[in-house]
Amino acid sequence: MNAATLIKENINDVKDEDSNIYVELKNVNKNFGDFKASDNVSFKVKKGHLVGLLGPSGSGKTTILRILAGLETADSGDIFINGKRVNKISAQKRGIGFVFQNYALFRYQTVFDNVAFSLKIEKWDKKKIRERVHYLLNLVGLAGLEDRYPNQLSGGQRQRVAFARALANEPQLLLLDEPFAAIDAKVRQELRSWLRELIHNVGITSIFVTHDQDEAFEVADQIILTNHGKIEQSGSPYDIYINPQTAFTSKFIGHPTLIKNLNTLRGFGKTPDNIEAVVRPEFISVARTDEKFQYSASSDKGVVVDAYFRGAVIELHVKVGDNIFVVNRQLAEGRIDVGESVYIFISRVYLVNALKAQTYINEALKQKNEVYII
Amino acid sequence: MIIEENKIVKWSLISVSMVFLSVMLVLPLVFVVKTAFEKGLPTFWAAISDKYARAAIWLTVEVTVITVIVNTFFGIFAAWTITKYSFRGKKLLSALIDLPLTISPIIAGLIFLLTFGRQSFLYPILHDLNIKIIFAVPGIVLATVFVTFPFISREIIPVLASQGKDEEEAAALMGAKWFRIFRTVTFPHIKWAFLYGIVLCTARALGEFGAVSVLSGHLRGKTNTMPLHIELLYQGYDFTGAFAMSAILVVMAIIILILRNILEYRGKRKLSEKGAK
Ligand SMILES: Nc1ncnc2c1ncn2[C@@H]1O[C@H](COP(=O)(O)OP(=O)(O)OP(=O)(O)O)[C@@H](O)[C@H]1O
Ligand SMILES: [Mg+2]
Repeated sequence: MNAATLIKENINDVKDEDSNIYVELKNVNKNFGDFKASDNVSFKVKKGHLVGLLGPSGSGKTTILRILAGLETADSGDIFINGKRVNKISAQKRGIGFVFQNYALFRYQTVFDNVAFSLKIEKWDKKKIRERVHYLLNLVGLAGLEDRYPNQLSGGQRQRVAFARALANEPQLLLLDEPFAAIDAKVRQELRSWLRELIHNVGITSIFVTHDQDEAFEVADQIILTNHGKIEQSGSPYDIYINPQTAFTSKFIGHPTLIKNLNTLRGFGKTPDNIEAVVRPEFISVARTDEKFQYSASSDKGVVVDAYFRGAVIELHVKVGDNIFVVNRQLAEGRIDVGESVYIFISRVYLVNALKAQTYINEALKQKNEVYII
Repeated sequence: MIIEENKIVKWSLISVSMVFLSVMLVLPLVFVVKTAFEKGLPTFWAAISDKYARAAIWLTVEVTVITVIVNTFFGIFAAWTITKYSFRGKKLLSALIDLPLTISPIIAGLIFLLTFGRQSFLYPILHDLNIKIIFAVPGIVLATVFVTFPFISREIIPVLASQGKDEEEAAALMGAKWFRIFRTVTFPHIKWAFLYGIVLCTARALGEFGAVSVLSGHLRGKTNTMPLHIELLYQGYDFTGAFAMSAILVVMAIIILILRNILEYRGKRKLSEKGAK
């Protein structure tokens, strides 16, 4: 292969990559007064992906969505949809489906009229509108409720109407602002998987806002993590979960606990003094002192100071030196009670400084001469 | 119950209110109607079908209709602007809307007199353009519009404000333009408040005396509205005529009162339906 073809192929690669991107924000800033609601926000979303915009309350998730939809104008930066810069294009013309946090159904219109709204604007003929609305209401499981008004529906049903309405004129991009926030846990779970399936069936690029991690991890193809108006990290759920890159990410995702004096623990002796580190329960295994334990040579001994029965697992709080670790033990592995001595083995921690987070694997798991810092 | 039910207190309060309302409101109204018909139906009829009376009635209706139309548009614009946009000077605008409520109508009349009268620098321009405002119908309309301006916008603003702008934004995202959004999404929300505002505006426009009195010039058959005509008759000791005209205004007022109550009732019912949310 000569140099010329190599370069050509590389160009093709780049092109391929770019044509797959449906939404891109580049250095977008938005201030409300002197408050930075969006601080140099940049990210890309692949066509057909379902993206979760995750972050604590007030971190600027809704702002990003509204800028993307054209309901808010960015102070600076570029917004691209399908390769076209849309900064100057009004909300009316962006062709985006939007599901509001409180659904914003038209209160004085029936379910039918709500769903038909965009079709009437596009001047579809009456028969086609009826067919489309019925198709959509079937899709979201609300057939037969055409003549109801929004206040005659349950929260979950309203959510579905909002969804049908947003999908009606086949937008290429769907934005959802905490679509399940107002729905009880059980129905929420149901709607989540329903939404994921539906969006993938329809094949529409979607971004949904949530501050519920479980929801983001369960539903999304890609997660964008926001904090204080900034994007902390963007990537696949797996990547975000297992490889947090920033201090915020490592402390926000999962149920982390802070570790003091990490280098007093077995397997982490080579880490510097006074470094900040966090660990999550799923990276700690626990065994009674009389049990056979795979890593007993490199585990630490501690005492159970608290135990909470959580159904499938027992949550144990184990005191080792100055630290109290939270560990989950499967119910089937047998119970351990408060006061018992146990061994714990920590497989992975995250080292944190002001800016970055770094994964550190227990030495016992490393093979000689290999660098495991990822 | 916060106030303990005491039969004596309750009934004495009710009686006092009843007596007060009878003396203050019902009795005068009955008296007006009685005086109007005292000399028989033909005299009453003659009084209100007289050339000047007819002109006054017609002028009042005309001014009221124009006023309500003008204030409908400006009322809706003002309410929309104040509730849906944020901008510098919004508080000031909001306060200005209330100005006519706090200013004496006579002063309102004088303001226009100074703005468009002979002393004003505008006067030569208006004169050249052959536009007569002072002591003419346009002046009367201006005065009435000014005095009744707050009624419609003040009714709509709270409803619009409580509604937020989500529904409008949702409609806009689906491609709807301003007018469609207003017609299909916003208007149904404000319909009852809006009609109620129109009723109040109409009532006030029909009866406006002070500001109109300053600007009208009291030209019989030309710039005399009903209230001005009544005053004129009264000062000319034509009590039957004065009370006959008054009786018409009273009947209009009662019709408006009934309309008002119907609207209020329907509006409340809508509100409680919405409350189901
Ligand atoms: N119109 C506005 N005027 C002033 N400040 C605003 C405005 N809209 C949002 N903000 C501020 O910007 C910040 C980000 O708001 P945003 O609504 O984007 O947060 P969010 O991440 O969606 O939060 P939540 O999860 O609570 O909905 C907040 O601190 C908020 O107070
Ligand atoms: Mg939000």
